[in-house]
Amino acid sequence: MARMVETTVIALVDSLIDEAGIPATAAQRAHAAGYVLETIARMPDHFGLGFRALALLFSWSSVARYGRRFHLLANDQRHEQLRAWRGSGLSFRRSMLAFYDAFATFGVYSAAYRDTDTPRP
Amino acid sequence: MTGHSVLDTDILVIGSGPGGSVAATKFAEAGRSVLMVEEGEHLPLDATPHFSCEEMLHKYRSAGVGVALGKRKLAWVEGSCVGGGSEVNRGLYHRTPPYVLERWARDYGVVDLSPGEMTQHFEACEAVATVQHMPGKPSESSQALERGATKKGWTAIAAPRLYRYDTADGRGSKQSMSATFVPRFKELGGNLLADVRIQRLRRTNRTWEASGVRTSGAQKTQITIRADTVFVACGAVQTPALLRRSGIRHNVGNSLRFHPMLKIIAEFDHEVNAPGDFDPVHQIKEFEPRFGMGCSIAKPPLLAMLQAARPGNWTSIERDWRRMGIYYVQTSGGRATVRNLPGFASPLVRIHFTPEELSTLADGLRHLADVLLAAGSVRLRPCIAGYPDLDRQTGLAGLPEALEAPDGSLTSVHVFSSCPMGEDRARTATDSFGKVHGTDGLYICDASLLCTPTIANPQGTVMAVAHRNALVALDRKFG
Repeated sequence: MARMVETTVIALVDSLIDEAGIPATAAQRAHAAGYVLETIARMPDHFGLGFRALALLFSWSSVARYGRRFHLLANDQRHEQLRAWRGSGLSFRRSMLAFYDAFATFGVYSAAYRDTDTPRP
Repeated sequence: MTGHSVLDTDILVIGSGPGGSVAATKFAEAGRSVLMVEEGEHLPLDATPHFSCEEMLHKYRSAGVGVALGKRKLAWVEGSCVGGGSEVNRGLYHRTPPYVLERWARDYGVVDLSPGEMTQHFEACEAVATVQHMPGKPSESSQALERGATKKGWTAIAAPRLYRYDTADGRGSKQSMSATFVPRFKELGGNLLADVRIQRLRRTNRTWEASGVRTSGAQKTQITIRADTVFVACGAVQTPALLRRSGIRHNVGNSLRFHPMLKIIAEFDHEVNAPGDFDPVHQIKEFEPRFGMGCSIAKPPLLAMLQAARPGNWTSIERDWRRMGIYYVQTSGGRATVRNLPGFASPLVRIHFTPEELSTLADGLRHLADVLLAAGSVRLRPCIAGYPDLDRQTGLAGLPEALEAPDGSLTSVHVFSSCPMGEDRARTATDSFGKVHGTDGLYICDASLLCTPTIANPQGTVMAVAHRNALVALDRKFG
């Protein structure tokens, strides 16, 4: 179960980075995915439980349409599913993607802009 | 879980943030046996870069994920490490506005809390944790806000910081708790244990027993600490959660407050944001207590996060981040409750905003946009999904009269008031000095006690109130 969540989150973060057109390196993508996974591990436990359940739902929801779980989809199919969840009438779907958008973005930009972390005054 | 350790102390302080550290230091100065425990890690101030992923994971509670649920959700952050919030905030410092103290005395029956009486406590804390104005010019993004305020004829100030500027170029050291009160506490013989989460308090035979878990790497050990007196300083969310788990519920966790905040990214036609810039310090005070405005750190990851999923974000930030600043407006609206959920360690926080409070937020956002355009910004990006960009041509058209904020738009970095102090037992959880009503030897000494939002940055108030209450507790021999 934990491995399934991890696989889904890594694929989701990767797809969000692609969708945003960020020319991230493999190391930067790995940093972002690792950061998001660690955040889920440390978030309040009741949210964490919900996020793990949502990750599984997200992963399996592509089976009905494409016959495969999210991490096995082609890029355009992944982006289609992201658009569907982002525009969904169900607020939990939009909220989930808003979370991943924010934290994946912070993670990948933090890796890409590490050199701007000059000593603070 | 392996093993079980039992410790004894005169005084147990749970939490090492500004409230806990100040109180614990006063008790150590008085020669008492004091143990201060902290749930988070004990890390040097410079262990992680400020506003980095590493800092979020190691110094923030729940990796920075705190969400108050409700029709309008609010995301907040709290520190969780030795030093608490003082380690991760920017250290902007204010003494409590006199009108706030007067309101607490009037509405909650808090005694001995006049501005004159509090002066000695502010001064005592400022003697240990230095408060200074920046010697040189603040960042251009900060000065831009001041210029806009001047054009509008609004009052703006450059706030001092808990910071000691050592050299002519303005470099120096942040005066967080881990750099000031905590070392002093240890020098005085105080004991500090990090990585200890207290789960429950129990009173037996005139002694308090605090039971919890100590973490060391992958190993977890049960711990019980026996103390004559306990000071709870876990922060405005965890303090009521711990007390409620321990069966103490009178006015506990019913009145949590925030400084709800909305942000705008302002683009200028010149550079306002450079690596190594000093922290922005300007704040607009003209409309307080309704709302206040200020300027935030604007590193590229923060700029990106605030407009995540915006088309063209990467190109825009890569090209223009040095011309961008982050500005905020904050109010004091919203009321929340803290409750424990069976089977879960983390408490559930639920928040409600009145229509008037949403209107105030929207009005504050309009004023913020107005002053940023007056400051010369060429484009404003409200950090609220669905809100239009603004510029000099569009003016403020398109901003709604009441806040229509989807998830993630409302945030806060200040939490307080979940266990207010005062003599009015119908409204308060403790007496005027933090002693929990109906108990012996149990006190609160953190932001939970503050009866309402402070409007200004609250750390100075938390420290001074903790100093005041610690002296009173010593004077009364904890009776």
